[in-house]
Amino acid sequence: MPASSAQPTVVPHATDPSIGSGAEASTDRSAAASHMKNRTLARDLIDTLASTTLATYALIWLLVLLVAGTLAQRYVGLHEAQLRYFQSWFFTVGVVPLPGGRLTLTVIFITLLTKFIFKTRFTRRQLGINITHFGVILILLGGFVTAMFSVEGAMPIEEGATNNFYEDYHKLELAVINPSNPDYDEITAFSGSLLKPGKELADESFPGTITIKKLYKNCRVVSIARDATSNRRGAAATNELRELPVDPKPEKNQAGAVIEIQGISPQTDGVYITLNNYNPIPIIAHDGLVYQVSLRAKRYQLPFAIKLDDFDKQVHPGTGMARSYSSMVEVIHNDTSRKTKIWMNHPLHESGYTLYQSSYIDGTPQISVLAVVKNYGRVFPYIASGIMCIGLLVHLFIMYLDAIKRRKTHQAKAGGSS
Amino acid sequence: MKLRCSSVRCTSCRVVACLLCLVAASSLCAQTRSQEGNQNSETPALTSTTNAAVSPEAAAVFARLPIQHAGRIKPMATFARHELLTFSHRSKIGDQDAITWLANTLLDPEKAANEPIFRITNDQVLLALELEPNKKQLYPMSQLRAAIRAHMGTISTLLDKTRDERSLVEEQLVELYSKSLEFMALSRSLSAFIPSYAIHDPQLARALDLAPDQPASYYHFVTHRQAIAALLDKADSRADAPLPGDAELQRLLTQLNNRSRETSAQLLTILLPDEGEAWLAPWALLDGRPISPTQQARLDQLNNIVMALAGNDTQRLETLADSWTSSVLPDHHTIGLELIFDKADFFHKSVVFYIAAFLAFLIGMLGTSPWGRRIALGCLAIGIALHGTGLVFRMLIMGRPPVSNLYESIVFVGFIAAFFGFVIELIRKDSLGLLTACVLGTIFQFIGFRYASEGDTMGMLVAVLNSNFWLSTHVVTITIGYGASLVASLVGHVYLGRLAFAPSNTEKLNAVKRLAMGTTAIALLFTMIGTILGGIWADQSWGRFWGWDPKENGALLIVLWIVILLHARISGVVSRIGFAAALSLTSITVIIAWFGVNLLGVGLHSYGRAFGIGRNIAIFSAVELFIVGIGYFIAKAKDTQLKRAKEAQLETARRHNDPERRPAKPAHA
Repeated sequence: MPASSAQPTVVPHATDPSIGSGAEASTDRSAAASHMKNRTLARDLIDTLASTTLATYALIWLLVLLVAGTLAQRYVGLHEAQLRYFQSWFFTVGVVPLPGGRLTLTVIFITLLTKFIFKTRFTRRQLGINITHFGVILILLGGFVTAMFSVEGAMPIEEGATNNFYEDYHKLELAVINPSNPDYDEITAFSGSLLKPGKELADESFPGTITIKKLYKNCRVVSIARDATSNRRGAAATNELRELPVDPKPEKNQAGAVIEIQGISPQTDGVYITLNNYNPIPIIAHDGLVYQVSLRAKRYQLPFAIKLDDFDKQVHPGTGMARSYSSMVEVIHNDTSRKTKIWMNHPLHESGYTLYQSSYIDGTPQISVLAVVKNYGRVFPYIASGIMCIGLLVHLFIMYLDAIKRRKTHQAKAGGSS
Repeated sequence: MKLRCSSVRCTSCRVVACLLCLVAASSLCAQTRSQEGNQNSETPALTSTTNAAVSPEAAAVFARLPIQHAGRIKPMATFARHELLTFSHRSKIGDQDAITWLANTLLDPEKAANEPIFRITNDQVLLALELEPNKKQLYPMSQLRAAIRAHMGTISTLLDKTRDERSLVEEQLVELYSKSLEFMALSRSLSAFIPSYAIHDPQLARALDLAPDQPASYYHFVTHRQAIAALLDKADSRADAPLPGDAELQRLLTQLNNRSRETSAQLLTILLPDEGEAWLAPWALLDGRPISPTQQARLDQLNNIVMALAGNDTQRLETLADSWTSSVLPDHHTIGLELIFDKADFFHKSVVFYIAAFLAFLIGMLGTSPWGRRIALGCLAIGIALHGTGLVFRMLIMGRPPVSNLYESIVFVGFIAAFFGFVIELIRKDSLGLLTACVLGTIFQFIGFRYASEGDTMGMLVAVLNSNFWLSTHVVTITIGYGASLVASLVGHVYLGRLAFAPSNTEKLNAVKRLAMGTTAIALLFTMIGTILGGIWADQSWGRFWGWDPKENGALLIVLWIVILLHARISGVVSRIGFAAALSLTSITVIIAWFGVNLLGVGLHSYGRAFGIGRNIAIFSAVELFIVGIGYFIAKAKDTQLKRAKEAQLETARRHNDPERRPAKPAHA
């Protein structure tokens, strides 16, 4: 019968005489059914994931995020807006959680990947589009690698000075400098989850304990009356910190912390204040050693050092407008060093790091600010963009060929009819 | 009569002191005040002997002199236009063109101060300064100066605020104040060479190489400072029995002293420096510093030029100007090109042809003759050629790619849109491309003129932009993308119009649909490549490919919008009417990405200017939404109507069960 032969796997042979076979057959049947169910489920899932409709809505949501995130930059600053809208999985409006940039991009990535693996038709007309989609997959992959593994920061460096670390743009650390070794300073830095109000910090490199009482991203210093009975020491004896709202412009924020030091000596123990970009607070231990404690931008070590020989800023003649800036530097690797120049649009690539001329601070000596980046996903956009361009060009070319063909048939038809 | 400064024994020091010592400290502001005071009380206004206006011929020679301004060397004509635009927002004032105005202003600052050239359009600014409104909205410096002085308190408080803290009116007040300072500095720039002092005493005149009553300039007396010192010595020695000339010498010194306060008028940087790159203004050399023999020779040359200009001696001026230019710029320079560019005025002419093409097209529509379209096409081609020539001239003058600032992007987008329209017209021959080219070409040229009216459009670039490679790849590509997107948007309007008003003409509808798809794909190609190249530039210069910076987001906005359009149509999320409407709205995304992001004032890319742009964007978006909205609803209504008609037709056909009468399947978009 045609009906049963069309579905041989679903309809078992009802005429089977053996006893055990009934059970076997029923197992077979349910397995086949569930297998079928799974297959349809998988199909459905793939169909849903690979559907253009899902991609369209995800893209529309990305557009919404893009507009919201851009407008928000005016009010909360570039960094905050990025964190909230683009570098988040979810963000909330009131109490409603909404998908963030990461989730949206991931959905687009999965949609594209599923479509690419299961649904791609390799026809002539689809060729350009397929190539373009592959390029988009690569660029999203690159974005993922960059978001997960890249590091970046700034290296301010004075003329004549040598530097082998760079600073985080946003994160802070509390550094304790132990001078006991005559050859080098031992530095212990507390950051991340350790740097929170209420945390008690202790390390063998420091004879006492440090408790973080207050930590402000932005604050100002106000004078207070000296109280001889209080345990406020140093600048804290006559000053205290007042919290300020965080400014959208990162450079306008003055981070500061109120810390309490205990367990050293009655003269030293007490409350101190420390400010980012200011001198460290000296802490005199009972053995006479002067430790230094300071709140500062989080530092990362580089596997090489940079010495700034000369910073040069040129202006357009007769104006104050910069035409170019450049830093003549020496790259020092253990005992070898070489001279090179870093300037606008011409970075230095060294040991996986890239150093850019970012800005400068006028004064004597001049300070050149280099941006330091290590990005494992760096190569992706270059390859991906090439592929995307080729894809679109191929597609346009095929469209053009089709248009010519259509015109020809049209003309032939017109010629035939007349 | 004893000379006032006789307590100082060394006479030559005294002359230098009298002439020059005051100047270094005097600010322009103080200068304004003191001059006013002097004119009112102590000394009579200096008599100017150059009342005759500069002839257009002499001004045309003056226009060729090189000047260094805003970081580059340009002809005086460009500088003059920039200055006049700054004050009056016009490139002509009355019957004078910019260069004649500048020459007259430099030669007779007193008269120039009474000419109405400051344009104030905001009534609030007038009220704040208590100025009487006049019809032409133009006010002379003398009136403005008095008003500013009366309200200096207000202006000082405004100056203490940052730009962000000022309202629009406040910002305009501050602008007006700085413009008035600029005018003071400009108008007095050559005052050292204007013959303004006549010596009546024959003996004194002879001693100073002058005929009695012959006017001489400040510069003349600076070159005769030794003679003056000797005269002062003599006058001192006969203090008990002074000669008639001694009093006049005293008066002269006071007058020269007053003039020497103008030394801060250093806007006209036309003198080559002995060292360094920054050129010098004449007053910079007359502030008491020792002058090198070369500079002395240059000043002499300049003095002669000013004399020839004041005397309208065109022939002599021509010889002097030529030798001056060849000594200042011995190498081949782009000044000649810039003068041609100025004179030829390619962009204005191109608009004339765009409009002519449009009119020819309209007239051609009335009849059946193919000539209307042909003439239109010819005019369009000439318009595009002129437009392109102008762009090439600018590239040659500046030695960089066609787009490097907002103004250039506007002119370039206009060119690209006109060019795309022209190509579409050549392929399709159905006047759609012609229309696109004329409309977009004209609109963008006019927007460009508005921007050009803010001053010199060939500015220098900040360091990060100063890269010809990236300007010619990323910036040009993304700008072509803007142009292509606008063309696609316009085609979208036509498509929507056809859907709304002639949906039954399937053949034409399909043709427009294919054109819409094609232009959309081209727009996507250019905006996408442009955006990615921008990312690569950012990676090369800042170390990150993408930073969600407003300008980057703006570029991505267009790309995303177009990608969404295509996918929404493919997936059936929108109908063809929705697609046409959305494609039409691409224009809004382009305008926002292009101009809107500068409003935010955040991020590494924020280098555009903002005032007034926000309002224009809002108006444009509202109008566009309104038009597209109406088109959408009409098209929808028509669509339902058509569907119903078809259903009814099908129904009748089914009832009659007559397969022959069934309508043909509608061609699907």
